[in-house]
Amino acid sequence: MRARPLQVQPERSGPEPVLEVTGLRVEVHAGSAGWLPAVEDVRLRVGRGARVGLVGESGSGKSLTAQALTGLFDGRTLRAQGQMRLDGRPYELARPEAWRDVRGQRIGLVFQDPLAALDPLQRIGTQVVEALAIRGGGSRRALRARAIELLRQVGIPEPAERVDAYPHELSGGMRQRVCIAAALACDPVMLIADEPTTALDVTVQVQVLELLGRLQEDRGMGVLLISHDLDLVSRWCDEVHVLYAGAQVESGTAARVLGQPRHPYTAGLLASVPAASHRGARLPELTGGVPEPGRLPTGCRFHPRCPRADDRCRTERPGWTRMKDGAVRCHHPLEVRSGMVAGAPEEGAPDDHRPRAVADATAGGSGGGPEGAA
Amino acid sequence: MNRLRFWIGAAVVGLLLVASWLYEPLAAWEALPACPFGPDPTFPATDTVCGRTLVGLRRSVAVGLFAGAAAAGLALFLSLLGRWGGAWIDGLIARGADLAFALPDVLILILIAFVVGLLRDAHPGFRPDALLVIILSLTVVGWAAPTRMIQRRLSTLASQDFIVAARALGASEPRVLLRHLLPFAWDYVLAIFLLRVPATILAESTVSFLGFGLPPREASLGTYLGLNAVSLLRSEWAVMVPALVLLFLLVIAFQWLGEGLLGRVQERRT
Amino acid sequence: MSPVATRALKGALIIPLTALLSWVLVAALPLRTEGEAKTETLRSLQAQLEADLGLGQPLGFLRPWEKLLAAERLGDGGRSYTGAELMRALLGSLRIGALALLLSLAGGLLYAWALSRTAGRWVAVGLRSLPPLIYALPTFVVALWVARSTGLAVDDTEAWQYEPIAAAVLALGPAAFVGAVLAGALEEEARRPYLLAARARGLSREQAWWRHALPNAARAVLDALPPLATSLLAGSFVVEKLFHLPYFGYLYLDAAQHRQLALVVVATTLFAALLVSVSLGTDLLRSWWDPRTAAAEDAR
Repeated sequence: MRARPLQVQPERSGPEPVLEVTGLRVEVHAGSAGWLPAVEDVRLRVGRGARVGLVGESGSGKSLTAQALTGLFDGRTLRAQGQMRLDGRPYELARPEAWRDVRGQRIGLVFQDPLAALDPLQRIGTQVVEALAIRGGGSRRALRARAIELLRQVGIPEPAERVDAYPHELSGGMRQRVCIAAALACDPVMLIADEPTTALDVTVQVQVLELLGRLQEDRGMGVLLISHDLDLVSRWCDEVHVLYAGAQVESGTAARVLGQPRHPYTAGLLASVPAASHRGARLPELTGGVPEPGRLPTGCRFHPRCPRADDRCRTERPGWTRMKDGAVRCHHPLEVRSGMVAGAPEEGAPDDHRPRAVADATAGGSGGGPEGAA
Repeated sequence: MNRLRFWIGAAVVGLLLVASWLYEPLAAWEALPACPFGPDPTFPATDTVCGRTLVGLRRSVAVGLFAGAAAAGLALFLSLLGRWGGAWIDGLIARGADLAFALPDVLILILIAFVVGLLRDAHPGFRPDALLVIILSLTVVGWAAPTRMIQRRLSTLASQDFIVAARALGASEPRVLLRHLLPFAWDYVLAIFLLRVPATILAESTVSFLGFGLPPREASLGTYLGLNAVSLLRSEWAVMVPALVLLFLLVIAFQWLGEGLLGRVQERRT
Repeated sequence: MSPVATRALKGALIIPLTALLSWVLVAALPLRTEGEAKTETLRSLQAQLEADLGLGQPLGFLRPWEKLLAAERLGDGGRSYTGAELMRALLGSLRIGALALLLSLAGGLLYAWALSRTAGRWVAVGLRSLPPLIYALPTFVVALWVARSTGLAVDDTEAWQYEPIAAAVLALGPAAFVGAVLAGALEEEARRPYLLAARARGLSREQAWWRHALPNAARAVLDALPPLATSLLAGSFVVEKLFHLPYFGYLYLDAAQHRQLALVVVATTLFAALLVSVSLGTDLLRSWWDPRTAAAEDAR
């Protein structure tokens, strides 16, 4: 049976998704221990104009996923496998040299720390259009005009003057806008944002997310937002995938994952976030840390930290359990009881903070869940 | 890896020194074959190339060790002085060391030799020992870099908890320095000293090559090479080979010795 | 006043200070004896002290400079020089030094580039062990070995032919130094996110290396320019003496050997001026290369 990528909201994704990833596997080279798997069997689909979120703690493999999808690995310390379909065209993830033209041109990547992501010795204008310049994008005047235009699109005031500035002359929020502009230089169909707001002030975070949303709508891009902040992702994205120790453990619409998490880990993430008002929860806070690639537990990877683990969890890796609007990988998923999570406090599900209307989660069909056990 | 380098370095130095000590008595007893490089060009009646080279090796090592020790010792003294005297003196010493470090060592050595030469010409009774002069000059030139390194090391050590605790218990500053700080700095100072030796040997041999170091009668390897440089023109190249090889081996051996020890010291700290 | 200007002023002060200090040092030496046993050397020394160094006269420390400007000969015996001759010698040394500087920068770049391109572990280990081995070789050893095949300048007229060789020999140690500094800096820069970001825009590894990693790593080389100049200066003595090139280093050695007081004073001052200029030039270069230093200084 051919494994199909997880599709949560088929009507949102349009006729053909921008990005489809199957069987993604990333391995790190750990000296004498050889190649260790850091990310296993990840499946994603991002539709045109869709916002997909990837959530996980540090060490869960989310940044490696981003690197694999853009081919930013060298084969010596990192290698990847899997298939990717970008805008209909297939690519073999294991051989990034074959599709170098994708990087920066069809997929844009935005990083976490905008100061570190910009070359301190070059003017921002040069860096913004670098993706164009190396592909013979035109005369210096044309490139400069394009740089100014991009800066204007990302909301930088007085772009014609700022284009000659150096990165250290701008504030953090401005710098991130510059990085976004650089990622958009070649009008990519897909944008991957790896913790784009983590290094910014709270007020600026909101602005940057609004900017991303606006740009995405204007251009019809797909956006993959990677973050450790489940709350933020759930508010901004349509669809959320939760990553733990390199494996997807839960997927679903943002409303569902935030409101009714089925995987104990997801629930634990929510419980440890102050914004999600779970007080006096019977689910304990998450203790311990994400296991390293070489020290993965047998069976379900989460069982050492899971209060609900039993012998089956310790020996057998769980497969996907499909639901109406998503899937979970757990032997004992948390039950849903009239809008409340089992074991959760008596208070109702947290308020829906998202500004956009949520598509009715029950309207989606059951199609698209991954077949078979992992 | 570090231990390996240390012992290889020590072994080579040891071998070279033993060879140099044993050569003269053995040659006197005619227990060795004649030197394949022939008689020494400068003193053909009394010495062979082998003899002069090996004695020169001993002198180079002696100068390196004494001057290196003096420089490291001076550096340690200044660093402790800076620690004891407070931030201002410490900063002054640091700035002075940086300034001294910026000066070209060969130039200073030539200047010192020049001045000593002037004094010798003016006062025939003034006949300082050439070895002493060169050791003192090398110390003057070599104190700056070790001082900065030891200062930094003491600084890192002093911020560690046990020192802070000793001070909190009311120990006076010199006491703290001597009884608590110093015992932990010795191995580092030793490594610094050993690392100074190759740099000192290089400086001395360069300056002697140019004629401003040890004189022909008390030749080091550098002096020897300087005297015989003219033999290049006459293509009597062979007389230079042993000295060149030995000099290179000596410097590398001491370098490995020092780096090996420094590596071990740093490994133990972490 | 801009910080660069203040530093320039402080540096410029060092030069006359060195002139004064070296003059005082020589003048303060107890070189005058009132005994009957006055050797030839002693007579010459005392004559020099009076004639060239203006001892006993007010503002005597300006004497040697006056003589040079007046195109008089400084020094005695066969070893006297006019200002013009000194300048010619200085220019010759500077030519060799400049060429050696370029060669050492190129050599260091080549080393760092080779290191970044090697995939094999043993090749990398071999390359990394190269600089320490080169440091262990004194310049004169290399010069001797090279001179064996190229020969030495027989007289002054053919000295210029040996300048490139001399510069190449002079550049070996400094090249290893530049290479080691650059390789270390590149290793640090290799982990920086902006390189990953550049590659995320589609640059190949090579492109990212040349356009982003190298310029940033070059800052470390800029900081190393003053010690580099110092070691080039020290090496120039050896190289000029060995290849018989009658330039400033050779002149200095000669003057020191033959007790030419005034020449030594003047030459030492010129060396100091040279080093100060290099230090200042490095500061200027650094501000220009890295826009952040200029900003940090303006803020102060």
